Amino acid sequence: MIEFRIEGLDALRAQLRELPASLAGEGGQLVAHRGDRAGAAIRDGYPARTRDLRDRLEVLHRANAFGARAIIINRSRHALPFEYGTQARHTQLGSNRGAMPPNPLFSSTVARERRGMWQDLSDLLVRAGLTVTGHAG
Amino acid sequence: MPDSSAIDQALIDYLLADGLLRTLLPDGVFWSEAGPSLVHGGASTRFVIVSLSDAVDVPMFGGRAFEDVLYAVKTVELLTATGRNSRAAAARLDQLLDPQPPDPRPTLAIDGYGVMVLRRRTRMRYTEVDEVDASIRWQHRGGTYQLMAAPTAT
Repeated sequence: MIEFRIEGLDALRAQLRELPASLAGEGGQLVAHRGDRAGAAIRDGYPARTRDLRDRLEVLHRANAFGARAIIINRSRHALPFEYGTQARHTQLGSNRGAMPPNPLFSSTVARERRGMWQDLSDLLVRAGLTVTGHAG
Repeated sequence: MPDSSAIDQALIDYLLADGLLRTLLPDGVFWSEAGPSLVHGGASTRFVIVSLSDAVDVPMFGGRAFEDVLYAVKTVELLTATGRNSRAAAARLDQLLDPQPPDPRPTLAIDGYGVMVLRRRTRMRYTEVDEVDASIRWQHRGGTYQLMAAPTAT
């Protein structure tokens, strides 16, 4: 009589059941880390004299059993004009500031960190023994 | 050798060629900062600004497979100007760059490239008020648009 015995199937089954929760936990940390990095880089990139741009930047974290989000938001009224540019205008001090071209600090930083996040999450899945194909952008 | 600036220029030329957008914002389509009006040569008060928000090259097989570019494209209008076309112009801009079904996809011709994707990523809208003269108000509307283009074989 020949008998095949595969040891560890119960353990494998248990591991597979745990996998989503385990991945969600570590994945959530990666998302939060990238969000914090982006927030810090944007804050550092704003001009020092413009306190409002720095002070009103927030990084919010949301996580549950199914996923995680990092939300970076700037509530300053100067945020959009800084990011996308202004037209000729005067300051209250009477100077003519002139048109300001776009400074895409926020957009480019978020895009860069988002790409890094995709890579981090892809690496996490590979470490867990899964195969990752394709490209997310 | 593909020239990445050709993508920027093609986008500007595409918008400039649209008669309705030019009617709504006659002063022109500019890169990053407004230049003199293409109509009268004076200061521009109704125009489109295109600028680069982010760009990344995606490599494959030892070469550049495609370029993934995020543009900020906005209509700009001085609200003291005659008429207010900002809303209609922004809608037209979006229709040109990211038409929704059943409208056909845009036909953007780029020298040395083929367009893979052109779509809006985010919407933007803000009003800029002069700090000294509050009657001077500029309306900015538009969005960020992702354009992915692959170099064509030469």
